[in-house]
Amino acid sequence: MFWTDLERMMGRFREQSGVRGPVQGSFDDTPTHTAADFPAVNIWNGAEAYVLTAEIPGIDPDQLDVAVVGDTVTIRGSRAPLVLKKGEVFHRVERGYGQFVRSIKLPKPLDAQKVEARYARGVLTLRMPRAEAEMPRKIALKTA
Amino acid sequence: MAQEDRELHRADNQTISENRREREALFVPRADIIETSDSLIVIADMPGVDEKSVDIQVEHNVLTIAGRVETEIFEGFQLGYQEFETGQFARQFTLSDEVDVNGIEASVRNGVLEIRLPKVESARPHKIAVRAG
Repeated sequence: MFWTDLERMMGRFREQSGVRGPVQGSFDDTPTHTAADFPAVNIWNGAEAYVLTAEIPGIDPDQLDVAVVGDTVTIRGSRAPLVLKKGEVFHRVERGYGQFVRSIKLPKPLDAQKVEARYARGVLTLRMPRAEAEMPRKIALKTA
Repeated sequence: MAQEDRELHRADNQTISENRREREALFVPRADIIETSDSLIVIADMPGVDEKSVDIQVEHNVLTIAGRVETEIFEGFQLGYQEFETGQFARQFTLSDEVDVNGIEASVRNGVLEIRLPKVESARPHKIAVRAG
């Protein structure tokens, strides 16, 4: 079973439960957030940086890759499938595994050198400062 | 102001302030269950949960797993775009009489809860030797 299958299942769950409805108006100009977008992200705006959090439980941090180019951050990773030993059987399989990749476009360019990534408790947190050249600058007025 | 910026602010004004007024969200964690020769293993995705915020109980053969995720606060930042909420995870499983309730072990790693429920001795497979007649 691949991660996309999990997402379809999650989408059904979200529809049924109504607790996690699809978000209208997406960050990266796609018309709506669909269940196929994995991992789900939250984005926080600061004056000079963005913070992105993503729920990616059960990943070996070595299998998680974060890349920043311009104003776009790409999160790529995989979760290894459970391998049953002889005599073991699945009674229920709901969790997904496999590869995933998601790119998120931020409103302003980022300083790729200063991006900090932390993975704890199954949550990826990225701190992404805006590119220096793109920061708002206060212009001093000279008197004539 | 750029189009994206306006979108961010609109999301902030509508979706998020409404969410905050609602009661805390409750989620059912997705789980795999594996049976081995001597135990049952329940594996549940509970991102944001660690060993301090997870609670496991067995009562009248019902296994209850629960976990709370505190909403993270980033000083000087405002939530601008939200696809997932945080709150409480909870799920119940009915156990058969085969489970040795006193031997249950659990661990949490990277937001994944794993519970090992050993079978009582009488429920484990026993190899019967067959003698030649």
